[in-house]
Amino acid sequence: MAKKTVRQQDFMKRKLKVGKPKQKPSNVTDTSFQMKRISLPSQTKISSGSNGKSAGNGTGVLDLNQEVIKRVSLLRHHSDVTRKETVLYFESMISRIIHLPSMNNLMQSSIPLMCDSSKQVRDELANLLDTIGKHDANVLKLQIRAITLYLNNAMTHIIAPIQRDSGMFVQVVLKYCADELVRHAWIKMLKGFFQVLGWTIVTQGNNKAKGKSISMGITSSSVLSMNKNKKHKNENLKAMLQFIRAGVLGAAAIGHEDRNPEQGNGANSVSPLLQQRYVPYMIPEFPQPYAYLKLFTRQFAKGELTSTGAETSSTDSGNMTLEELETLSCEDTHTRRMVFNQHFYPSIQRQLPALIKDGGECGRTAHSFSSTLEEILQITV
Amino acid sequence: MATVTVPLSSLAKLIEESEGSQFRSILQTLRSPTYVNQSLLKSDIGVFVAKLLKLLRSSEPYQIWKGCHAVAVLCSNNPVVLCSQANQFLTVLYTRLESFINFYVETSQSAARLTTLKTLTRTVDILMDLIRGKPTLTREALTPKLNAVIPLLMTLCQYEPELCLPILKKLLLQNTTTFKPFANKYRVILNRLITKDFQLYDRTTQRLICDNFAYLHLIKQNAQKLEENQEHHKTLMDENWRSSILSVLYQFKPLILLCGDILDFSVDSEMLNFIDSLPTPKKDTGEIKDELFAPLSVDMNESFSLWEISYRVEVLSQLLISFISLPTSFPLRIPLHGIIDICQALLMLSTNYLPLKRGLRRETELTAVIITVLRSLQYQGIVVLKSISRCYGKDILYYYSSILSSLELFIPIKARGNAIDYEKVESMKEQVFDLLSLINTLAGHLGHKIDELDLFTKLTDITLRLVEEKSNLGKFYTTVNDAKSIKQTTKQKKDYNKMAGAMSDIYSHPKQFVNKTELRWYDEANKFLSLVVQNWKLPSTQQVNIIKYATVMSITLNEQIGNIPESFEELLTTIVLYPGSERLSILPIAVGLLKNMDNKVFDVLCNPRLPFSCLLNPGSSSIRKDIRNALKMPNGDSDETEETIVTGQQDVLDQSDANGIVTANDIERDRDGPENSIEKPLSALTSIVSDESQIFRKRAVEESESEEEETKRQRPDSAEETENNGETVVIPNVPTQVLQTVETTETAQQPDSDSDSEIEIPTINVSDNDDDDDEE
Repeated sequence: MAKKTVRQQDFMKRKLKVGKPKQKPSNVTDTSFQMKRISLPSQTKISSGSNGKSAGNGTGVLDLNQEVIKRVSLLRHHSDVTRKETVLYFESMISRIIHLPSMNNLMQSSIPLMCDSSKQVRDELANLLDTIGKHDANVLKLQIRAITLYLNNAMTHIIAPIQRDSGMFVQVVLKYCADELVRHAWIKMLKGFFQVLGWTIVTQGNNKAKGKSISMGITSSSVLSMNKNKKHKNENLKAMLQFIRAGVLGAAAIGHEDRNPEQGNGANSVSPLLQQRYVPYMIPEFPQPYAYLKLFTRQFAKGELTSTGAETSSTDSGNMTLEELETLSCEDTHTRRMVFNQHFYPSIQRQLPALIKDGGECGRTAHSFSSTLEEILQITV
Repeated sequence: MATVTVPLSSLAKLIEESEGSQFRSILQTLRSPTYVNQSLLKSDIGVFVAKLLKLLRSSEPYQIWKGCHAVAVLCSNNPVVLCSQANQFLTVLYTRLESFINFYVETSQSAARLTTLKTLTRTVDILMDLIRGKPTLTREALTPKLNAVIPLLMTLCQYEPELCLPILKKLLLQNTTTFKPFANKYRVILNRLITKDFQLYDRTTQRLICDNFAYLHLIKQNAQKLEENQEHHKTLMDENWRSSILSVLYQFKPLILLCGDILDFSVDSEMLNFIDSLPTPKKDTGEIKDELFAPLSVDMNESFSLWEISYRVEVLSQLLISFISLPTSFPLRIPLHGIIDICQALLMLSTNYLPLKRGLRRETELTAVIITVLRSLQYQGIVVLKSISRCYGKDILYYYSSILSSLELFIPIKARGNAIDYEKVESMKEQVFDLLSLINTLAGHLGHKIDELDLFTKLTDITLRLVEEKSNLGKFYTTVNDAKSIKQTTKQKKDYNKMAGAMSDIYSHPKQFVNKTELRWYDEANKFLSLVVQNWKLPSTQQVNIIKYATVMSITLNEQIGNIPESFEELLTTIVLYPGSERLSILPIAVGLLKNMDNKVFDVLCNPRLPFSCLLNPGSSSIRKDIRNALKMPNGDSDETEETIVTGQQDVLDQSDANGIVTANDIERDRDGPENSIEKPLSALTSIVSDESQIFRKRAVEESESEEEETKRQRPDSAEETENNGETVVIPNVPTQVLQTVETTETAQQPDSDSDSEIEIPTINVSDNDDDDDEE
């Protein structure tokens, strides 16, 4: 019975009475409030107090800083034209904004554009990076971690055009922070080049007969497209050549600014020997001097990644697999040269004769490549 | 002089009844030098000694224990008592000891009696030590008693070796001739200790047994030598010693040959030749006299009997170490070549490059035992090498390349390929520790002369691996997962649940099961690492890992134990000084870590500056002395120095106009200005002293012994004098006397200080003398 009464209540008609307000239905939504502020998550909030440094710089700089922060979000705009325009805008502004605090935001959101789907955006980004490097190479050096991450991302990208363009970016980065790049990601980048070029790496097993060859190309189509597109191939080949020269022959090989050289090529400095002695104790001229120690990064326990208990001394790194190589740190030229000679040299040498035969731009680059290889070999001997 | 101390007679009454802390304060009172008085000998001391003798003769262990301690304290602090009563004390002590030892079985039942026995033995030891070296006392008190004491100790050392062996070792070394009649008996006892229960004793006792055995060879056995016609040959002092070293050495070869039944030596012809060349007894002389050991019983069917080989080698190497390392009164001829060869042969017994014999390869149990036994054999090679390199240092430089290459054999490698087998390395952490300390001693002599880097990079990797804190649970997790799948299929869920209940801690708190590393280990590892960093440019992988280890571990240890151990400080300093191929040194990191440590190197690196004295006066040494003098002067009279400083500043102002630059030198010279009167004779005197020092040196060589005696004689006197000073100062009634005594003491000490003075001291001492001279 009780159930029945409850059910009936819902259908009862309430009587309206004079002098009393109309009863509200039970499912009413309260709309009495007034809107004061609307937040749209796709746009950044503009706050005035974000940069306390501006006190001495005047309001102009302050506005510029805010302007940059405001515009940075446009780099993620859905329209590729807008993205390109934004990059262009920033490129024109670089000379004014290079030392602003907002530069950090700009770098953080512009570097991922290396994997942008639009070719125009990528080209402009390369120009932007170049301009930044011209103004202050240290800005690029500071971001080397992010840059390497996205370079690798581009090199291993599934979309062929993006993958092909990675060489362009490598060239730009090498121009300004070659030393940092080779120190930071020698092995990873080398592997990446193999993937971009669609080459294979010949691993050296214990007995040569068993040596496997690992194809680094992602898909056969990417290999094909790379082979078809001679111009891009040349670009990538050039990038690889520059990279290897920077890594193995030292910073001087590329002919850029003379930083503290490991190879003893500080001929134009006052007294290189003395400088070599005291430079390690001076305040460093480059950012993040101790990043390579990885004191604050979480690492896997040794042997956790590879079941074999991978870490072996570099002296017999000839027996290491490519995965095990990742445990090496390539801070010094000696290790880099050794790793290169033992793992990558033979594979590269296999590819070059065919390229030289083909001729053209590619053939020329390949030729200088092979002469560089000989040079490297001479150093080792 | 008024004595403010308790009279001995009252102490004598007290000591009988005292207990616990009261007894301790009595002992403290006994140390007072006021009792060193011959006039007390007949009255007070006599009474007290009688009381002590009574205590010693009592039947109650506690009274004897008290007596022993009182005797030890009294005799070591009171030369008068020692000279007069030592004979009596020693007699009573050893008779008591005898009674205790005769009933050792009963004694060992009660803890009190056992403790008393130990105290008695120690007191006898102390007394003998005190008596030794004093000619008359030794002749009258010690030598006649030794004939009784030595057999007693020899009997006791079968029960309590760690107690008696150090005493017997001392007796063997210092009373060799008195020990001679007991040598044969002692040899029998030691033989039993060595052959039977050697493995049961701890390390120090083992060492003592071997040391005693070696020292037994100090006693000459010239009986059979006289018969031969070679009397006219001058026998070398160490004839006996050397022959016993050789006899120990000869016993290694058969053991190594025995390993030829396990390992296939025939693969390596060089190995065969090498083993052949190991020291062997010459057959014609028939030198094998007494075989110390019984033949080994080894059975391949009982795999654990193989350990016998390892035990035997362990004993032999311990004996060898004793023979090599003990100090002797005569020069020794050590067959270094033979010993090092044997160490190398031991180290070669590894499965790294030599295969096992054909028939043995299949049985897993046997091969597992063989591998561990071989490793312990190799380890013995390292132990011997370590003691050699510690004793002979640079003398083994000739062999270092072969030693290093054979040490590399100790590092286990994987069955195929050349990679280090870290699992095995982790299981032999202690042995690697010894290897590292050996390398540390070796490389200390070698420095960067070594061109073979391979061993060192391998060891660096191993060290870095071993300093990580690890648990043995890695395999556990994988096996458990397997077990889970099996059990679920067989549906024995109940069992599994039970197990999981017991094991829960492993999953929830895996960090509690981590094996910690000893601090000692860190020290040795750090020493090795800083050695490597110093001498070679490492590949960056190793360098980075070392830096990381040093920083991370110093922080964690700082959190755990409150300070950064010294070895870490050294390692950090070395890394900063030798950045290798890094672009930057870790100076800021290291300084940040060690900011509370007051590290001199970092201090200079952070605020670069020249040494102080170097700044003041480049080159000239004579002025330097003046400066030192001037620097010390302010302590004496402050008024003068203040004035001089003021004048100095004025001068600076004046001169600064003229010269522009003023060195501190000028200030110093000005400072010296007012005290020129002192300075002149000083410089004259320093020249005299510097001459005299040379004279003194010559004389020192000639008359070193007599001087020593002199100083010995003078020491107690001077001590008394200083005490006198203290006491007289306390009493304010006689100030005039005080002054006089002080002066006299100073004048009395003058000749002493002169004779002792070396070149460096003169500035202050001499100036005092000067003043005195002037006054006189």
